[in-house]
Amino acid sequence: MNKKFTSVGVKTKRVDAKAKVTGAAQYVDDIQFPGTLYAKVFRSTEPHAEIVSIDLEKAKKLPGVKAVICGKDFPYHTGLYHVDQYMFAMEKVRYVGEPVAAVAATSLEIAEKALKLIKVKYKKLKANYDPIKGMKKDAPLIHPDLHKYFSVPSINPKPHSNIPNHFKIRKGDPAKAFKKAHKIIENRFKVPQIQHVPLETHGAIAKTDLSGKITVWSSCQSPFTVRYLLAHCFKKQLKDFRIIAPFVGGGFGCKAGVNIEPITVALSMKCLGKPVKLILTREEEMYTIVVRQACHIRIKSGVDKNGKIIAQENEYIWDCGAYAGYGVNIVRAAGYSICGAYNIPNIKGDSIGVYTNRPVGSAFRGFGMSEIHWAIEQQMDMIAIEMGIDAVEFRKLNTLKPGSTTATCQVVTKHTGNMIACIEETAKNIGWGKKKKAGKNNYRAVGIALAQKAPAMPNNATSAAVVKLNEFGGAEVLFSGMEIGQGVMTAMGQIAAETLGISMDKVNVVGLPDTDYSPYEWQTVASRITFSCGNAVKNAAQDAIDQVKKIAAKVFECKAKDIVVQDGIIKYGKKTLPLEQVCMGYQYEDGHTIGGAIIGRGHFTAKDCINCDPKTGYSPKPVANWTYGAQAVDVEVNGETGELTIHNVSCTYDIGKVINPQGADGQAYGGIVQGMGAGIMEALVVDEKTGNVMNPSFVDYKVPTIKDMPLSMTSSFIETQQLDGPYGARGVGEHTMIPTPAAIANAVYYATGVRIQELPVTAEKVLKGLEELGKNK
Amino acid sequence: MPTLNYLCPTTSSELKKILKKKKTDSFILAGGTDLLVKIRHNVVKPKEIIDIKKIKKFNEIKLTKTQLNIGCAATLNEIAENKTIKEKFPAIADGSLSIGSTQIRNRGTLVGNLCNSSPVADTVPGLLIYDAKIKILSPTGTKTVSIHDFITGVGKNILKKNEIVESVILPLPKNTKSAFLKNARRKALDLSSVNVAVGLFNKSKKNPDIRIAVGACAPITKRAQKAEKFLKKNGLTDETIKKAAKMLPISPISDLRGSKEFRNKIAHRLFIKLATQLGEV
Repeated sequence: MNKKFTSVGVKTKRVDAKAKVTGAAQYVDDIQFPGTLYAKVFRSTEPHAEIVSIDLEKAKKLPGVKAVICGKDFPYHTGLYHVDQYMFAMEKVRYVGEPVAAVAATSLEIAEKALKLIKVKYKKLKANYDPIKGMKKDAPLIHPDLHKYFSVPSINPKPHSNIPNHFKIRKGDPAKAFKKAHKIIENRFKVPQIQHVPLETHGAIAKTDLSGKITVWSSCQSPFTVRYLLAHCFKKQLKDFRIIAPFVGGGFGCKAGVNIEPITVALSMKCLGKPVKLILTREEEMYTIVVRQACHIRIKSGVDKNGKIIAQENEYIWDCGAYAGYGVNIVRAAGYSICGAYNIPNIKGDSIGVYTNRPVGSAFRGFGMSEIHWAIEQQMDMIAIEMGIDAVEFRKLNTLKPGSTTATCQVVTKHTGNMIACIEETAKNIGWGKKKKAGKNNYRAVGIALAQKAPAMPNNATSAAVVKLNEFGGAEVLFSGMEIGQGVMTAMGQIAAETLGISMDKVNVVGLPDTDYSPYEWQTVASRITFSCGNAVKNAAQDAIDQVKKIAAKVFECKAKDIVVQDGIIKYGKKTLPLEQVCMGYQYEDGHTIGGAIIGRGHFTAKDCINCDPKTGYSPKPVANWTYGAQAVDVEVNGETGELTIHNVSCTYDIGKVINPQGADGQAYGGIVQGMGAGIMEALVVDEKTGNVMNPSFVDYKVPTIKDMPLSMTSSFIETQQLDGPYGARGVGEHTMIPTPAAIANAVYYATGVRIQELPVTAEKVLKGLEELGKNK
Repeated sequence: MPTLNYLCPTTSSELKKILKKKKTDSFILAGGTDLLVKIRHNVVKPKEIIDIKKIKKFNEIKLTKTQLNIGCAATLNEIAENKTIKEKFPAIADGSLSIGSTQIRNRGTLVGNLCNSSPVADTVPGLLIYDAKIKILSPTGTKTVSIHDFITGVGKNILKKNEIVESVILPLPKNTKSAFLKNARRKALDLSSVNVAVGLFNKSKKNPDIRIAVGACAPITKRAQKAEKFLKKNGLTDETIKKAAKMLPISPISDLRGSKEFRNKIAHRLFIKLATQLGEV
């Protein structure tokens, strides 16, 4: 594509910057209605117990309390891919923090007081926090009714077990290939549960009006999915619900499905005409909603004499926590991506989800890829070291290239992406192979890791958009991809401006969907919005401009295909017409008018995606596309304390056409920092005696501050065109955090010889390792 | 709805009258960076709050010929940026600077840090090595006690319910240098896993008047008297410093911020680093 672009690919200031900087942007908690009732949730204090009785009577009698409800009032299920959760715990509770009842009152203080008057009696059951124990045949069942639950077709629960999904890859003949292997290298790795830590905690307001129509203002990533799941949950029509999604202060996956919305709606149904507001405290946010799944990993690789991996066994045992409505799809995503970005002819892969009594695992930026790459990318280094091959060369030798096949036997083409270019660019930018100077008593080295990820979405996930031209020759662009900080509003504006042939300042980007008025979007997840919603916007803008050309063709008395629109001017040869003279219909000198208000519509659904075979995982195209990338980290280890200083991070992603260079850089930096947090400091700790989370606040759950930032970060992009992407673009939102932890661990190894196989890479673990090697200063 | 009585005296005599009637559910508010967190977590349920920030002299950091007075409402950032404190009491300036974030230090006070009496308090090791005096105000007048007698346990001190700390008094030292180091899980906004202050109060390497305090490693942070005496007798060398490290009065626990083994190691290393640095220059 040699066409010169005017908006796409141009560094563009965020369209929502002014609203956010000035405070004009409204979030759920900013919305204040008169007569609001405040909600609080009564939560389980037991990790696993039968509910013997629930006494709500005293709470109901407290003056100011307007509703107190529990499971028997709303015995409804929720769950996106696998329907395993009641809105409120019914027969039993499965984790500490699970909703058991809820209160709406005239003030937050009264609601809190009412919670203290609710009495629940439990009969304790044995709790299990270890997914490996949970897989055993005699393990007590956390969900005895698993065989009765509804799951979507791509999910394979194992009846009468603790396993809500088991995804298998059986490619080639690994047993035979292992026999031929020159070396076999096997390692185990562990990933703990971590928290998303959005700046804005979950919040929702629900109002059921006197006619029964329910409006929900929600801090969510997917308003249409919220509407769909609410309608299912309450057994109502979609038209009964209207979801309004204001700005979101960070999602990272935790606001992907429904969370607190059903409870808020249920309360509002008992308080007709009154808005009911539920805003979670930070402490509730930490463990009562969703967290990233933990994972126990084993990888066994067989290599030939030249360092080619010829066989591999990958085993991912996921700690789904107490419920797996969303988590089962992470198990699936880890399954079809089982060996990362490598070309391995013989694979036995098992990705197994297991219920435990930990907090609920769910979507988290990376959707399983951050977790499995922690292991895969260290395993690759461990093989390279064993074989005496440079880590960069080893990756270049084994990574996917045109003609390679993925774990599901999908054939990689030159359009899939260029991993070799990503590796080479990253290595160049970090100064791979050059010795880095360490301070006195310190060690320093560079580590590298790769990443690949595809959008994990149903094959029929669809996006829609509307582009309305206006009287000044500008446009309103409507879509429902949520602005969760990633810059979608700006990117959609650029795509619309480019396609319409007008400048960005004429585009009114109408993000912030309202399901009664906005076009459909499945979900803002999976790094799919630029790709999928971007295509819908492009198609809608093209539809609008086609209508413009049709009218202009009559005016110019020419064929529509010979007309171009540039800089807001309709051109046919030397004849020109300002766009605004056509947007609302063209009026001739005598007053008669042709055409009328122009509204373009567009949609997009990825083509030809095929579900994986449940026995072998085979699919010629399991996903819409892949994004490849590489990241290298320059780390200095303090020889006295084990502390890490991240000097420099360099990353390269092949994201097809870069729509907004500024936005792409932002995603890279943000991902690196979030990856670094997961890499060196984050872990949710559960007390296995009580099931309580030990660090449910920022006192002991740490995320990086501005002082912890890498001293330098650089990002580059390779632009292998995505053939079905808008202007050739594909997603990058999640990918940037995937390789960081493994790259850090690899750097620590090269610097010190200490190999940390369980996240996070804390100073304490590094120091212990240094001592074991006698290298502490 | 629970009611909360907010009092805001502007003079000491007004405060004294309030203190006279103060009950156990009445709490002193300076920066509020500990109090507000405790209220949120239901650790304390105040019925009355006495804000002492409006008493002008409580905000002062005042230098006389022989001593420095830090008022109980002086903020951590004011202390960290104070020229005299930076010059004469660097371990206290650095300890103050290591707490929380800029925003928290703009509210939080050194005296609050002291009165919260946490074993991880970052200003306490510095106060210990400078033999700070604590001026206590009660309805009947003032008295002064030694820092060494002030903290009595985890979160506990000698203050009675109608007493407050009016100021911390630091005798001006001669020929001293000091330093503070903190180990935490991240570079800002974190509680210490270990904190150490070391001061050298003369110029003798042979018989150094060295003072050492290690925090976050025992219920009460105390001066390392055995190590101090040992070094004074045996001089400041790499070898004696290493030996002294083994005499530190520390008995750390294992928690989310680090295991006892890790804390022991870090305490030793931070002490050795500081003592070596002070001995070198």
